Amino acid sequence: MNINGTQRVNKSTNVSPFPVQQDYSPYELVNGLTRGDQKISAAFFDQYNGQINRLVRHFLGPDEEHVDIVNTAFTQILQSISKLKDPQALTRWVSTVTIHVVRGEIRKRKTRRLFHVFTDATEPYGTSTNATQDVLSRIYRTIRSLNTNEQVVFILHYVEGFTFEQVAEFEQISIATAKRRGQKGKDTFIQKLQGDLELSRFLEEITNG
Amino acid sequence: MADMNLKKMGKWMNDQLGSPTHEEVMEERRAFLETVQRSSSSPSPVRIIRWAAAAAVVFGISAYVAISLFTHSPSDSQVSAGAEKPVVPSVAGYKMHTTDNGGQTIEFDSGSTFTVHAGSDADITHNTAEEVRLLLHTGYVDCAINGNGFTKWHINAGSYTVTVTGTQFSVDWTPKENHLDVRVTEGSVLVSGGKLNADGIRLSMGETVSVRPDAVRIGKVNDGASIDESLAQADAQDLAASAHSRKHQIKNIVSKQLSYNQLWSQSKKARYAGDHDTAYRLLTELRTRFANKPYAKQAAFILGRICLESRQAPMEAKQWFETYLQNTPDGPLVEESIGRLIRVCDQLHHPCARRYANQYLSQYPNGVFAEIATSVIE
Repeated sequence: MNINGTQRVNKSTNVSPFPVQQDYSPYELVNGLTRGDQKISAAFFDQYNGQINRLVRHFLGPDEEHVDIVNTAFTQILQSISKLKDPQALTRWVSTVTIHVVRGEIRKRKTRRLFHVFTDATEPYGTSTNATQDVLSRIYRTIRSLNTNEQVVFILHYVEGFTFEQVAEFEQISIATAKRRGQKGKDTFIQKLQGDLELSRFLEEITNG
Repeated sequence: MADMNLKKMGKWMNDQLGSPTHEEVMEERRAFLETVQRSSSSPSPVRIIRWAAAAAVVFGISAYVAISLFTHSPSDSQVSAGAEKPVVPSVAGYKMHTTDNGGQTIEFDSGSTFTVHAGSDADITHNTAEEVRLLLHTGYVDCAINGNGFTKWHINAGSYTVTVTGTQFSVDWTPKENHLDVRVTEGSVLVSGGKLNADGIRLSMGETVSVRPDAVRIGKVNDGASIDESLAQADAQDLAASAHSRKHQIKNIVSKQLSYNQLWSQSKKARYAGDHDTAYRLLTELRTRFANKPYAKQAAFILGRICLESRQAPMEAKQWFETYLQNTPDGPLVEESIGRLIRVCDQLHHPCARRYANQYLSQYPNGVFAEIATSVIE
């Protein structure tokens, strides 16, 4: 993904079940969304649904509320599109809004867990049906033990593959802060991992090839 | 677990998580388009708050609106600021608060522009295909409207509203002094609200209205715009000097002594003053001396318009519009250029008319020139 979003995006590079009809510049997309133009809005969706879906999935893992959260992200984007002053930054801005929505969701769930200590097992994350999903669920459970800021940096850096410089730009924090959060998240993740020998062994296997 | 291993874990997670199903994406798409439809048909809470705030401002201040077309002569500081106004896209909710050092130009899809001068404050409160609305809190705004027959353009200033159907004009108002001056040099506008009667005042080309706390005066535009510092003194000495004498002064300006920014701003002022010959001369000078600068590219389009609309030189207009397209293939005025090329070529019975019409329809099937493009092809 181009973090700067400065290029005209070729929709054919995105995962979309819909035929590519026309490329729109970020300028045209922002104006179209502002005007409520259905055709351009559809093009916007086709162009960015891959990016938003991927971010939500990476942050929350397999989740029964996935579609709802993606819809919330799209709604937030639509409602705040007028705040975007530089259409050239559309791609980055879409990611920023999505991360904001996901961050809110993570916080909401943390609060929910505080009041319902034993709900973790019944949360939508934990619906494993096979070994892979079980591992994924365990990983996400471990990630959820990090604080929200550390989670965001951890996912962006280790799962999304962004550099700390890019993470800092997304999060509007200094590079040093991004690195510090990343390091702290990593330390906490590894520490928690040691309490789950099975997961720890499995991860060693996959990381050793 | 080392960094590398965590990244490998991330990659593994990435692979395992996969993509959303077709059904999920379909559901998301349908929900999004429904949201778009809802938000475009009914105002969102944010919009309601914004409108309420705008209404409060409108009621809170007694404002006057001034419209002038090509003849307004802003102060020197506005002139220098005008040359460096950044162009931003038109987005509803966009707020413009310009300092004394610079202005800002808002450009719409149709090529219409609002140029908010230094020291002004304005919001675009509405921007749809049917209606564009600018709320001018204070200051001066130049408006160049390319009418398409169905978009309504409104400027709100205090309790006054200016409704435009297709022209170029300026709005200048000073809330503290309650002074309003409206000048129209092309097209027509309707000024209403405030202390004006219910029907408002319709101003046609060459007419002006001055609204003061104790009087409303309708007259004729007679104030040409100065285009050089040397004329500023003349402005101060006698604002009522005849347009004839001013034009004579304008023609005597040595354009070679003007800087890049001065050439651009003075050419704009000359155009606004209706002195298209001077504008033509300044713009060609700008293109000759500063060929690689941004305004030089835009100048090609404006020269095309001058040739087409004032100099009755369609052949030359065609060349300028084509020059603009060659110089700026992704520029903001491409649609306007191709649209005008269709007209020019059609006027000249040039075979290019069909080619440009086809190009236009393929790029802008719903554009403002789509009708004429279709008629040329048929």
